[in-house]
Amino acid sequence: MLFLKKTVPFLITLGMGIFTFMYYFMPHKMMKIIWEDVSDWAIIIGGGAMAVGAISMIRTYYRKSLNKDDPNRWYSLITLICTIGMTLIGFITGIGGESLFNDLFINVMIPLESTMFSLLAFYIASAAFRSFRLKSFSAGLLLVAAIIVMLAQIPLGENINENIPAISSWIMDCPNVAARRAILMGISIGSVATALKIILGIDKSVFSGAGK
Amino acid sequence: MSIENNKDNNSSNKNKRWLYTILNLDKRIVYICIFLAIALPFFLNPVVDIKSTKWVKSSYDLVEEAAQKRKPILIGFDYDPATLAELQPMAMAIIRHAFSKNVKVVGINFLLNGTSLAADTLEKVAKEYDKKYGEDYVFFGFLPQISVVLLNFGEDFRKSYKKDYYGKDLNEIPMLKGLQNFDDFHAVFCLSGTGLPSTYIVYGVDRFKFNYIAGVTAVSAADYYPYLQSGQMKGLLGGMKAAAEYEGLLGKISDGMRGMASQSWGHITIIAFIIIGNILFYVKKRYEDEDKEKKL
Repeated sequence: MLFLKKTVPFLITLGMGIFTFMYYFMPHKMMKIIWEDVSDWAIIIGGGAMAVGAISMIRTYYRKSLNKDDPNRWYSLITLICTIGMTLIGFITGIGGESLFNDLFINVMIPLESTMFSLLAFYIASAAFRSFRLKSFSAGLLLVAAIIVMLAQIPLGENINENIPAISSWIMDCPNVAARRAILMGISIGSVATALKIILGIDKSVFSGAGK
Repeated sequence: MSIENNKDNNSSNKNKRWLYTILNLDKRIVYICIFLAIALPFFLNPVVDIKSTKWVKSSYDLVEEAAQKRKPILIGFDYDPATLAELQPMAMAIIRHAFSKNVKVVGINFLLNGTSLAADTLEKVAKEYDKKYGEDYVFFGFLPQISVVLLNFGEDFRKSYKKDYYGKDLNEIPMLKGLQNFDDFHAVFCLSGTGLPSTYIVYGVDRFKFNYIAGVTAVSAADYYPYLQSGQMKGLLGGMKAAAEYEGLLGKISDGMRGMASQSWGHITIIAFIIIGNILFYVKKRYEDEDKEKKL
Protein backbone atom coordinates (compact mmCIF):
# COMPACT_ATOMS: atom_id res chain seq x y z
CA MET A 1 0.00 0.00 0.00
CA LEU A 2 2.87 2.34 0.89
CA PHE A 3 4.33 1.54 -2.56
CA LEU A 4 1.16 2.83 -4.28
CA LYS A 5 0.75 5.83 -1.97
CA LYS A 6 4.33 7.03 -1.82
CA THR A 7 6.67 5.33 -4.29
CA VAL A 8 4.48 5.46 -7.41
CA PRO A 9 3.59 9.19 -7.01
CA PHE A 10 7.28 9.89 -6.34
CA LEU A 11 8.38 8.05 -9.51
CA ILE A 12 5.75 9.87 -11.62
CA THR A 13 6.82 13.24 -10.13
CA LEU A 14 10.50 12.45 -10.72
CA GLY A 15 9.91 11.37 -14.34
CA MET A 16 7.61 14.30 -15.22
CA GLY A 17 9.79 16.84 -13.42
CA ILE A 18 12.92 15.80 -15.30
CA PHE A 19 11.03 15.53 -18.61
CA THR A 20 9.41 19.02 -18.30
CA PHE A 21 12.76 20.52 -17.32
CA MET A 22 14.46 18.93 -20.36
CA TYR A 23 11.62 19.91 -22.71
CA TYR A 24 11.78 23.55 -21.60
CA PHE A 25 15.48 23.81 -22.45
CA MET A 26 15.75 21.22 -25.28
CA PRO A 27 12.68 21.37 -27.56
CA HIS A 28 13.90 18.42 -29.70
CA LYS A 29 11.44 16.86 -32.19
CA MET A 30 11.26 13.61 -30.19
CA MET A 31 10.58 15.55 -26.99
CA LYS A 32 7.81 17.50 -28.75
CA ILE A 33 6.04 14.28 -29.74
CA ILE A 34 6.04 13.03 -26.15
CA TRP A 35 5.12 16.50 -24.87
CA GLU A 36 1.91 16.57 -26.95
CA ASP A 37 0.56 13.50 -25.13
CA VAL A 38 1.89 14.65 -21.78
CA SER A 39 0.30 18.09 -22.10
CA ASP A 40 -3.09 16.53 -22.97
CA TRP A 41 -2.80 14.41 -19.85
CA ALA A 42 -1.82 17.41 -17.75
CA ILE A 43 -4.98 19.28 -18.82
CA ILE A 44 -7.14 16.18 -18.21
CA ILE A 45 -5.62 15.72 -14.74
CA GLY A 46 -6.15 19.45 -14.05
CA GLY A 47 -9.86 19.05 -14.86
CA GLY A 48 -9.99 15.87 -12.78
CA ALA A 49 -8.40 17.67 -9.83
CA MET A 50 -11.26 20.18 -9.93
CA ALA A 51 -13.78 17.33 -9.75
CA VAL A 52 -11.88 15.85 -6.78
CA GLY A 53 -11.94 19.28 -5.11
CA ALA A 54 -15.70 19.59 -5.66
CA ILE A 55 -16.38 16.11 -4.26
CA SER A 56 -14.14 16.80 -1.26
CA MET A 57 -15.94 20.11 -0.62
CA ILE A 58 -19.38 18.48 -0.82
CA ARG A 59 -18.31 15.71 1.60
CA THR A 60 -16.88 18.21 4.10
CA TYR A 61 -19.91 20.50 4.07
CA TYR A 62 -22.33 17.55 4.13
CA ARG A 63 -20.68 16.31 7.34
CA LYS A 64 -20.65 19.82 8.84
CA SER A 65 -24.31 20.43 8.00
CA LEU A 66 -25.29 17.23 9.84
CA ASN A 67 -23.41 18.23 13.00
CA LYS A 68 -26.19 19.50 15.29
CA ASP A 69 -23.69 20.82 17.86
CA ASP A 70 -22.25 23.25 15.33
CA PRO A 71 -24.17 26.55 15.38
CA ASN A 72 -22.73 27.40 11.95
CA ARG A 73 -24.11 24.27 10.29
CA TRP A 74 -26.74 26.35 8.43
CA TYR A 75 -23.98 28.10 6.47
CA SER A 76 -22.67 24.70 5.39
CA LEU A 77 -26.17 23.72 4.33
CA ILE A 78 -26.58 26.93 2.29
CA THR A 79 -23.23 26.24 0.58
CA LEU A 80 -24.36 22.72 -0.29
CA ILE A 81 -27.75 23.86 -1.61
CA CYS A 82 -26.09 26.58 -3.74
CA THR A 83 -23.47 24.19 -5.13
CA ILE A 84 -25.98 21.49 -6.05
CA GLY A 85 -28.54 24.05 -7.25
CA MET A 86 -26.11 25.81 -9.59
CA THR A 87 -24.83 22.46 -10.94
CA LEU A 88 -28.38 21.29 -11.71
CA ILE A 89 -29.36 24.62 -13.28
CA GLY A 90 -26.17 24.47 -15.38
CA PHE A 91 -27.03 20.97 -16.63
CA ILE A 92 -30.68 21.85 -17.35
CA THR A 93 -30.40 25.34 -18.88
CA GLY A 94 -26.81 25.24 -20.15
CA ILE A 95 -24.17 27.88 -19.34
CA GLY A 96 -24.52 30.09 -22.44
CA GLY A 97 -25.04 33.86 -22.52
CA GLU A 98 -28.80 33.89 -22.02
CA SER A 99 -29.15 30.89 -19.71
CA LEU A 100 -30.53 31.02 -16.16
CA PHE A 101 -27.12 29.80 -14.95
CA ASN A 102 -25.41 32.84 -16.47
CA ASP A 103 -28.12 35.20 -15.17
CA LEU A 104 -27.61 33.85 -11.63
CA PHE A 105 -23.85 34.21 -11.98
CA ILE A 106 -24.07 37.80 -13.24
CA ASN A 107 -26.77 38.95 -10.80
CA VAL A 108 -25.84 37.02 -7.64
CA MET A 109 -22.22 35.93 -7.76
CA ILE A 110 -20.77 39.17 -9.15
CA PRO A 111 -22.42 41.50 -6.56
CA LEU A 112 -21.49 39.09 -3.74
CA GLU A 113 -17.82 38.77 -4.69
CA SER A 114 -17.50 42.47 -5.49
CA THR A 115 -18.98 43.33 -2.08
CA MET A 116 -16.50 41.04 -0.33
CA PHE A 117 -13.56 42.66 -2.14
CA SER A 118 -14.87 46.20 -1.56
CA LEU A 119 -14.72 45.62 2.22
CA LEU A 120 -10.99 46.15 1.78
CA ALA A 121 -11.61 49.91 1.39
CA PHE A 122 -13.27 50.05 4.82
CA TYR A 123 -10.47 48.12 6.52
CA ILE A 124 -7.81 50.29 4.86
CA ALA A 125 -9.59 53.47 6.02
CA SER A 126 -9.85 52.15 9.56
CA ALA A 127 -6.20 51.00 9.57
CA ALA A 128 -5.08 54.36 8.14
CA PHE A 129 -6.72 56.16 11.07
CA ARG A 130 -5.59 53.80 13.83
CA SER A 131 -2.27 52.26 12.82
CA PHE A 132 -0.43 54.29 10.16
CA ARG A 133 1.76 56.23 12.62
CA LEU A 134 4.88 58.33 12.17
CA LYS A 135 6.77 56.53 14.94
CA SER A 136 10.24 56.37 13.39
CA PHE A 137 12.26 57.60 10.39
CA SER A 138 11.52 54.48 8.32
CA ALA A 139 7.80 54.71 9.21
CA GLY A 140 7.96 58.34 8.04
CA LEU A 141 9.48 57.30 4.70
CA LEU A 142 6.72 54.72 4.24
CA LEU A 143 4.05 57.25 5.14
CA VAL A 144 5.33 59.93 2.75
CA ALA A 145 5.79 57.39 -0.06
CA ALA A 146 2.26 56.04 0.50
CA ILE A 147 0.69 59.52 0.37
CA ILE A 148 2.60 60.46 -2.81
CA VAL A 149 1.70 57.19 -4.58
CA MET A 150 -1.95 57.52 -3.49
CA LEU A 151 -2.11 61.09 -4.78
CA ALA A 152 -0.51 60.04 -8.08
CA GLN A 153 -3.22 57.41 -8.51
CA ILE A 154 -5.88 60.12 -8.75
CA PRO A 155 -6.15 63.08 -11.15
CA LEU A 156 -6.01 65.50 -8.20
CA GLY A 157 -2.35 64.59 -7.63
CA GLU A 158 -1.10 66.33 -10.75
CA ASN A 159 -3.36 69.32 -10.01
CA ILE A 160 -1.81 69.78 -6.55
CA ASN A 161 1.70 69.62 -7.96
CA GLU A 162 2.89 68.66 -11.44
CA ASN A 163 5.81 66.74 -9.95
CA ILE A 164 3.71 64.31 -7.90
CA PRO A 165 3.26 61.78 -10.75
CA ALA A 166 6.99 62.02 -11.57
CA ILE A 167 7.98 61.43 -7.91
CA SER A 168 5.53 58.52 -7.70
CA SER A 169 7.01 57.11 -10.88
CA TRP A 170 10.52 57.37 -9.38
CA ILE A 171 9.36 55.61 -6.18
CA MET A 172 7.89 52.77 -8.26
CA ASP A 173 10.82 52.55 -10.70
CA CYS A 174 13.72 52.74 -8.25
CA PRO A 175 13.20 51.85 -4.57
CA ASN A 176 10.20 49.64 -5.37
CA VAL A 177 12.00 47.73 -8.15
CA ALA A 178 15.11 47.26 -5.98
CA ALA A 179 13.03 45.80 -3.15
CA ARG A 180 10.82 43.71 -5.46
CA ARG A 181 13.85 42.28 -7.26
CA ALA A 182 15.42 41.18 -4.00
CA ILE A 183 12.13 39.59 -2.92
CA LEU A 184 11.64 37.93 -6.34
CA MET A 185 15.15 36.48 -6.26
CA GLY A 186 14.54 35.09 -2.80
CA ILE A 187 11.20 33.58 -3.83
CA SER A 188 12.68 32.12 -7.03
CA ILE A 189 15.62 30.49 -5.26
CA GLY A 190 13.20 29.13 -2.64
CA SER A 191 10.86 27.82 -5.37
CA VAL A 192 13.71 26.08 -7.20
CA ALA A 193 14.90 24.49 -3.95
CA THR A 194 11.36 23.33 -3.08
CA ALA A 195 10.76 21.99 -6.61
CA LEU A 196 14.06 20.09 -6.56
CA LYS A 197 13.27 18.64 -3.12
CA ILE A 198 9.90 17.35 -4.42
CA ILE A 199 11.24 16.08 -7.77
CA LEU A 200 14.15 14.25 -6.13
CA GLY A 201 11.93 12.84 -3.37
CA ILE A 202 13.73 14.60 -0.52
CA ASP A 203 10.42 16.18 0.55
CA LYS A 204 7.70 13.52 0.47
CA SER A 205 5.14 15.46 2.50
CA VAL A 206 3.22 16.38 -0.67
CA PHE A 207 2.45 12.77 -1.52
CA SER A 208 -0.61 10.84 -0.37
CA GLY A 209 -1.04 10.19 3.34
CA ALA A 210 1.01 13.17 4.46
CA GLY A 211 0.19 14.34 7.93
CA LYS A 212 -1.77 11.21 8.87
CA MET B 1 -3.12 80.58 42.49
CA SER B 2 -4.77 77.29 43.34
CA ILE B 3 -7.99 78.40 41.56
CA GLU B 4 -5.97 79.13 38.38
CA ASN B 5 -4.24 75.73 38.62
CA ASN B 6 -7.60 74.03 39.01
CA LYS B 7 -8.91 75.89 35.93
CA ASP B 8 -5.85 74.75 33.90
CA ASN B 9 -6.27 71.18 35.07
CA ASN B 10 -9.96 71.21 34.18
CA SER B 11 -9.36 72.49 30.63
CA SER B 12 -6.48 70.04 30.18
CA ASN B 13 -8.70 67.16 31.35
CA LYS B 14 -11.43 68.30 28.98
CA ASN B 15 -8.97 68.33 26.06
CA LYS B 16 -7.70 64.89 27.04
CA ARG B 17 -11.23 63.55 27.16
CA TRP B 18 -11.87 64.92 23.66
CA LEU B 19 -8.60 63.47 22.42
CA TYR B 20 -9.34 59.98 23.74
CA THR B 21 -12.91 60.15 22.41
CA ILE B 22 -11.59 60.85 18.90
CA LEU B 23 -8.76 58.33 19.23
CA ASN B 24 -11.24 55.63 20.24
CA LEU B 25 -13.66 56.67 17.52
CA ASP B 26 -16.18 53.97 16.70
CA LYS B 27 -15.06 52.03 13.61
CA ARG B 28 -18.53 52.45 12.13
CA ILE B 29 -18.05 56.24 11.86
CA VAL B 30 -14.87 55.65 9.84
CA TYR B 31 -16.77 53.16 7.68
CA ILE B 32 -19.62 55.63 7.07
CA CYS B 33 -17.11 58.33 6.05
CA ILE B 34 -15.42 56.07 3.48
CA PHE B 35 -18.79 54.78 2.24
CA LEU B 36 -20.02 58.33 1.60
CA ALA B 37 -16.69 59.32 0.03
CA ILE B 38 -16.99 56.47 -2.47
CA ALA B 39 -20.75 56.34 -3.06
CA LEU B 40 -21.66 60.03 -3.41
CA PRO B 41 -19.18 60.87 -6.23
CA PHE B 42 -21.00 58.36 -8.46
CA PHE B 43 -23.57 61.14 -8.87
CA LEU B 44 -20.89 63.63 -9.97
CA ASN B 45 -19.67 64.17 -13.52
CA PRO B 46 -16.90 61.78 -14.64
CA VAL B 47 -13.31 63.02 -14.40
CA VAL B 48 -12.23 63.45 -18.02
CA ASP B 49 -9.02 65.48 -17.76
CA ILE B 50 -6.53 62.65 -17.24
CA LYS B 51 -2.96 62.65 -18.54
CA SER B 52 -1.73 59.25 -19.72
CA THR B 53 1.37 57.77 -18.16
CA LYS B 54 4.28 56.18 -20.06
CA TRP B 55 3.28 52.54 -19.64
CA VAL B 56 -0.38 53.07 -20.52
CA LYS B 57 0.65 54.99 -23.63
CA SER B 58 3.01 52.20 -24.71
CA SER B 59 0.18 49.65 -24.27
CA TYR B 60 -2.08 51.85 -26.39
CA ASP B 61 0.63 52.22 -29.03
CA LEU B 62 0.98 48.44 -29.35
CA VAL B 63 -2.69 48.13 -30.32
CA GLU B 64 -2.18 50.97 -32.80
CA GLU B 65 0.79 49.07 -34.28
CA ALA B 66 -1.35 45.93 -34.46
CA ALA B 67 -3.84 47.89 -36.57
CA GLN B 68 -1.08 49.09 -38.87
CA LYS B 69 0.40 45.60 -39.25
CA ARG B 70 -3.09 44.02 -39.51
CA LYS B 71 -2.24 41.51 -36.82
CA PRO B 72 -4.65 40.31 -34.10
CA ILE B 73 -4.18 40.69 -30.36
CA LEU B 74 -4.58 38.04 -27.67
CA ILE B 75 -6.28 38.93 -24.38
CA GLY B 76 -6.16 36.75 -21.26
CA PHE B 77 -9.34 37.59 -19.31
CA ASP B 78 -8.00 36.24 -16.04
CA TYR B 79 -10.11 38.23 -13.60
CA ASP B 80 -13.12 37.29 -11.52
CA PRO B 81 -15.98 39.32 -10.00
CA ALA B 82 -13.80 40.38 -7.04
CA THR B 83 -11.52 42.49 -9.24
CA LEU B 84 -14.13 43.27 -11.87
CA ALA B 85 -14.47 46.95 -10.88
CA GLU B 86 -10.84 47.67 -11.76
CA LEU B 87 -10.18 45.24 -14.60
CA GLN B 88 -13.44 45.22 -16.55
CA PRO B 89 -13.09 48.93 -17.60
CA MET B 90 -9.55 48.09 -18.77
CA ALA B 91 -10.75 45.08 -20.78
CA MET B 92 -13.55 47.10 -22.37
CA ALA B 93 -11.22 49.96 -23.30
CA ILE B 94 -8.71 47.60 -24.96
CA ILE B 95 -11.41 45.73 -26.90
CA ARG B 96 -13.06 49.02 -27.94
CA HIS B 97 -9.70 50.27 -29.15
CA ALA B 98 -9.05 47.06 -31.10
CA PHE B 99 -12.52 46.93 -32.68
CA SER B 100 -12.45 50.62 -33.58
CA LYS B 101 -9.24 49.97 -35.56
CA ASN B 102 -10.46 46.65 -37.01
CA VAL B 103 -7.94 44.66 -34.98
CA LYS B 104 -9.12 41.09 -34.44
CA VAL B 105 -9.26 39.80 -30.87
CA VAL B 106 -8.74 36.31 -29.45
CA GLY B 107 -9.70 35.76 -25.82
CA ILE B 108 -8.48 33.08 -23.42
CA ASN B 109 -9.13 32.47 -19.73
CA PHE B 110 -7.38 30.65 -16.90
CA LEU B 111 -9.62 31.70 -14.02
CA LEU B 112 -12.82 29.66 -13.91
CA ASN B 113 -14.94 32.37 -12.24
CA GLY B 114 -14.16 34.80 -15.02
CA THR B 115 -15.14 32.70 -18.03
CA SER B 116 -18.68 33.95 -18.57
CA LEU B 117 -17.59 37.48 -17.64
CA ALA B 118 -15.06 37.41 -20.48
CA ALA B 119 -17.60 36.03 -22.97
CA ASP B 120 -20.13 38.71 -21.95
CA THR B 121 -17.57 41.53 -22.18
CA LEU B 122 -16.49 40.51 -25.69
CA GLU B 123 -20.11 40.14 -26.79
CA LYS B 124 -21.14 43.52 -25.34
CA VAL B 125 -18.35 45.50 -27.03
CA ALA B 126 -18.74 43.53 -30.29
CA LYS B 127 -22.38 44.66 -30.45
CA GLU B 128 -21.28 48.32 -30.08
CA TYR B 129 -19.00 48.02 -33.11
CA ASP B 130 -21.13 45.55 -35.07
CA LYS B 131 -18.41 42.87 -35.00
CA LYS B 132 -19.14 39.24 -35.74
CA TYR B 133 -18.08 36.23 -33.72
CA GLY B 134 -15.68 34.02 -35.64
CA GLU B 135 -14.76 36.78 -38.08
CA ASP B 136 -13.64 39.60 -35.79
CA TYR B 137 -13.24 37.93 -32.43
CA VAL B 138 -13.08 34.48 -30.88
CA PHE B 139 -13.17 33.30 -27.29
CA PHE B 140 -11.41 30.01 -26.51
CA GLY B 141 -12.80 29.74 -22.98
CA PHE B 142 -11.29 28.24 -19.86
CA LEU B 143 -8.53 25.64 -19.57
CA PRO B 144 -6.70 24.53 -16.43
CA GLN B 145 -2.89 24.12 -16.23
CA ILE B 146 -1.79 27.54 -17.45
CA SER B 147 1.88 26.55 -17.71
CA VAL B 148 1.18 23.67 -20.11
CA VAL B 149 -1.31 25.68 -22.17
CA LEU B 150 1.11 28.61 -22.55
CA LEU B 151 3.97 26.32 -23.58
CA ASN B 152 1.67 24.74 -26.16
CA PHE B 153 0.45 28.15 -27.32
CA GLY B 154 4.01 28.99 -28.26
CA GLU B 155 4.03 26.05 -30.70
CA ASP B 156 0.42 25.74 -31.82
CA PHE B 157 -2.62 26.71 -29.75
CA ARG B 158 -4.63 23.90 -31.36
CA LYS B 159 -2.59 21.46 -29.26
CA SER B 160 -4.51 22.62 -26.18
CA TYR B 161 -7.62 24.23 -27.62
CA LYS B 162 -9.63 21.93 -29.86
CA LYS B 163 -12.94 23.83 -29.55
CA ASP B 164 -13.93 27.38 -28.60
CA TYR B 165 -16.06 28.45 -25.62
CA TYR B 166 -19.26 27.73 -27.55
CA GLY B 167 -18.12 24.24 -28.59
CA LYS B 168 -17.24 25.09 -32.18
CA ASP B 169 -14.26 23.34 -33.79
CA LEU B 170 -11.38 25.83 -34.09
CA ASN B 171 -10.62 24.63 -37.63
CA GLU B 172 -14.10 25.76 -38.72
CA ILE B 173 -13.62 29.34 -37.48
CA PRO B 174 -12.60 31.57 -40.43
CA MET B 175 -10.74 34.16 -38.34
CA LEU B 176 -8.30 31.55 -37.03
CA LYS B 177 -7.05 30.46 -40.45
CA GLY B 178 -3.39 31.38 -40.62
CA LEU B 179 -3.10 31.84 -36.87
CA GLN B 180 -0.98 29.31 -35.01
CA ASN B 181 1.00 30.68 -32.10
CA PHE B 182 2.20 33.79 -30.22
CA ASP B 183 4.18 34.95 -33.29
CA ASP B 184 0.90 35.58 -35.13
CA PHE B 185 -0.32 38.04 -32.49
CA HIS B 186 1.10 41.56 -32.28
CA ALA B 187 0.43 41.91 -28.56
CA VAL B 188 -0.61 39.67 -25.70
CA PHE B 189 -2.54 41.13 -22.73
CA CYS B 190 -3.17 39.44 -19.40
CA LEU B 191 -5.77 41.15 -17.22
CA SER B 192 -5.71 39.72 -13.75
CA GLY B 193 -5.73 40.52 -10.06
CA THR B 194 -3.90 37.24 -9.30
CA GLY B 195 -0.29 36.14 -9.90
CA LEU B 196 -1.11 34.90 -13.41
CA PRO B 197 0.59 37.82 -15.24
CA SER B 198 3.94 36.54 -13.88
CA THR B 199 3.17 33.04 -15.18
CA TYR B 200 2.77 34.47 -18.69
CA ILE B 201 6.32 35.81 -18.38
CA VAL B 202 7.84 32.55 -17.11
CA TYR B 203 6.15 30.19 -19.59
CA GLY B 204 5.46 32.57 -22.47
CA VAL B 205 7.53 35.73 -22.84
CA ASP B 206 10.88 34.26 -21.77
CA ARG B 207 10.66 31.43 -24.22
CA PHE B 208 8.65 32.75 -27.17
CA LYS B 209 9.48 36.50 -27.03
CA PHE B 210 6.30 38.45 -27.74
CA ASN B 211 4.96 41.91 -26.89
CA TYR B 212 3.40 41.44 -23.50
CA ILE B 213 1.28 43.82 -21.41
CA ALA B 214 -0.22 43.13 -17.99
CA GLY B 215 -3.38 44.78 -16.70
CA VAL B 216 -3.49 44.43 -12.92
CA THR B 217 -5.18 45.90 -9.85
CA ALA B 218 -3.62 49.06 -8.41
CA VAL B 219 -2.66 47.14 -5.25
CA SER B 220 -0.57 44.60 -7.17
CA ALA B 221 0.90 46.97 -9.79
CA ALA B 222 4.09 47.50 -7.76
CA ASP B 223 4.94 43.80 -8.21
CA TYR B 224 5.33 44.14 -11.97
CA TYR B 225 7.75 47.07 -12.30
CA PRO B 226 10.88 44.83 -12.40
CA TYR B 227 9.49 43.18 -15.56
CA LEU B 228 9.09 46.59 -17.22
CA GLN B 229 12.71 47.50 -16.54
CA SER B 230 13.94 44.16 -17.85
CA GLY B 231 11.91 44.60 -21.05
CA GLN B 232 9.86 41.44 -20.46
CA MET B 233 6.74 43.61 -20.31
CA LYS B 234 6.11 46.36 -22.85
CA GLY B 235 3.32 48.03 -20.92
CA LEU B 236 1.50 48.01 -17.61
CA LEU B 237 -2.06 49.00 -16.81
CA GLY B 238 -2.41 49.45 -13.06
CA GLY B 239 -5.88 49.86 -11.57
CA MET B 240 -8.81 52.01 -12.52
CA LYS B 241 -6.62 55.06 -13.17
CA ALA B 242 -4.93 53.18 -16.04
CA ALA B 243 -8.34 52.27 -17.45
CA ALA B 244 -9.36 55.95 -17.26
CA GLU B 245 -6.08 56.96 -18.95
CA TYR B 246 -6.70 54.42 -21.73
CA GLU B 247 -10.25 55.77 -22.16
CA GLY B 248 -8.73 59.26 -22.31
CA LEU B 249 -6.44 58.17 -25.16
CA LEU B 250 -9.43 56.59 -26.91
CA GLY B 251 -11.54 59.69 -26.32
CA LYS B 252 -14.44 57.69 -24.94
CA ILE B 253 -15.94 58.27 -21.49
CA SER B 254 -16.72 54.98 -19.81
CA ASP B 255 -16.52 53.14 -16.47
CA GLY B 256 -12.84 54.04 -15.82
CA MET B 257 -13.46 57.79 -16.00
CA ARG B 258 -16.77 57.44 -14.14
CA GLY B 259 -15.02 55.60 -11.31
CA MET B 260 -12.23 58.19 -11.01
CA ALA B 261 -14.34 60.62 -8.94
CA SER B 262 -15.07 57.88 -6.39
CA GLN B 263 -11.46 56.74 -6.34
CA SER B 264 -10.28 60.35 -5.88
CA TRP B 265 -12.56 61.00 -2.91
CA GLY B 266 -11.76 57.58 -1.43
CA HIS B 267 -8.01 58.31 -1.56
CA ILE B 268 -8.48 61.84 -0.17
CA THR B 269 -10.50 60.45 2.75
CA ILE B 270 -7.84 57.85 3.55
CA ILE B 271 -5.06 60.49 3.37
CA ALA B 272 -7.15 62.73 5.67
CA PHE B 273 -7.53 59.84 8.13
CA ILE B 274 -3.75 59.24 8.08
CA ILE B 275 -3.05 62.93 8.79
CA ILE B 276 -5.71 63.25 11.53
CA GLY B 277 -4.56 59.96 13.12
CA ASN B 278 -0.96 61.20 13.25
CA ILE B 279 -1.86 64.64 14.67
CA LEU B 280 -3.87 62.96 17.44
CA PHE B 281 -1.01 60.54 18.05
CA TYR B 282 1.40 63.46 18.59
CA VAL B 283 -0.99 65.38 20.84
CA LYS B 284 -1.48 62.23 22.91
CA LYS B 285 2.28 61.73 23.11
CA ARG B 286 2.74 65.34 24.28
CA TYR B 287 0.11 64.92 27.00
CA GLU B 288 1.77 61.70 28.15
CA ASP B 289 5.20 63.44 28.29
CA GLU B 290 3.69 66.33 30.28
CA ASP B 291 2.09 63.88 32.73
CA LYS B 292 5.43 62.13 33.18
CA GLU B 293 7.16 65.47 33.87
CA LYS B 294 4.51 66.40 36.44
CA LYS B 295 4.95 63.09 38.23
CA LEU B 296 8.73 63.64 38.36
